[in-house]
Amino acid sequence: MSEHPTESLAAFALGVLDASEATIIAAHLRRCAGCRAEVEQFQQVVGLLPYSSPPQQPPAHIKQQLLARIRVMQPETVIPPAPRPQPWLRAALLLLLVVLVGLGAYAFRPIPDAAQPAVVAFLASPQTIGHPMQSSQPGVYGTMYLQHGQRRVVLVVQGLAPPVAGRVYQCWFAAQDRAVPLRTFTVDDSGTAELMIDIPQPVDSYHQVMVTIEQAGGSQTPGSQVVLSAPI
Amino acid sequence: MAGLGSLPGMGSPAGDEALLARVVAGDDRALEQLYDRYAGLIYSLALRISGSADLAEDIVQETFWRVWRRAATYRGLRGQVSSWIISIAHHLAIDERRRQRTRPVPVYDQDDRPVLRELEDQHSDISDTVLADERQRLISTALASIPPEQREVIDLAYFRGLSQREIAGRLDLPIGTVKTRVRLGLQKLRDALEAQGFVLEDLAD
Repeated sequence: MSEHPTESLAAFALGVLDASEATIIAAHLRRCAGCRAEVEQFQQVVGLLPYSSPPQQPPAHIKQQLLARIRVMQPETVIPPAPRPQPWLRAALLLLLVVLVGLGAYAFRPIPDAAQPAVVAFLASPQTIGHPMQSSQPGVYGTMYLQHGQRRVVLVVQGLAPPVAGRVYQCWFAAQDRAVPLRTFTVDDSGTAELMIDIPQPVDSYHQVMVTIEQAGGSQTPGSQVVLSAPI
Repeated sequence: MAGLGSLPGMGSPAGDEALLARVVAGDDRALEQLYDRYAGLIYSLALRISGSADLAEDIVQETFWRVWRRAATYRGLRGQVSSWIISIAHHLAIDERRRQRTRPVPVYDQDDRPVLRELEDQHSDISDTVLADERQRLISTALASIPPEQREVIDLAYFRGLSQREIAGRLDLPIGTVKTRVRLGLQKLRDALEAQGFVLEDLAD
């Protein structure tokens, strides 16, 4: 076909053609520099449309979450492998692995237990309450974000030093008679960690949350080095 | 080369390319700089298309995540880094908007979230804000200058993600008329922008 589809070039650039028509136009564009130049001009015009709205800055935690998500992919912040893997730690590591693999193919569909977009949504939800945590160490800050009656929380910590070799940080929730061990974690070189934690019972059935330093691989009972704690 | 919409003091196309090359090399500080330059634009686009602050926040994050993960794929494309980032965000936002049609989601009235209106970006100074306002004024003026029926189809296509078939159905017009309005509208918009001093990049071989 030697005629040029001039009527459809703008529509192609704007993305309103159906798939079969777009395919035909695309094939023509591969052969025709003149039409291709016109489409590219239209595409530049279309690309300016977003600038017609005034820019609005997103909340700062979006950038924090993004950078945390990126840095968790980098070798320095991988959770150290346990010398004696325990079932729950293996499950937590497996969950993290599944999340990381899932994030690579993330196509903006809800993925069960997808960490970072769910963390963002959780933090932004009107039902979420933040509990500041106390620390004996200066410069260490933590906040436990929770929703009443729910079994999922988000822990955000800042200012923690990376644990020494062979140690990790670990979260605990304490009920009447026992402390429930939960995930271990480390921090990036800015001392920050943001974690989503699933707990066995609704959060209101616990009376305290804390972060301790434990041997790599975690522990079943909390040690004495409590870094952060808060009553619930 | 002077790209479309480049104004003095803006993140230059050459600067963006250098940043993206560093992103390909795994430099997350370079990604952070691209975020600082474009997150405001992406967020306002996502707000406009999705109508929800929660969704817009997710779209911003997912957009820059994809920039991080797919930076190497940009190398083979033509056009500016900013256009590539915008196209990622636009695609995500339209997809999400189409998904919302089958699953109604409460739309947050922005007045309930006043913190979103604050310009929190410590990296922008007065000159960036003035240029952003100027650019927005130029483009809005150009858009306002084209006939309303042409502006309407462009709006339905770009900000609502409708196909020509859906636009034709909604406005009760033949598809050919929709195509013509798109063509005339984009031509007039192009002419209005050039009249205000925008230079279209010559990408011809």
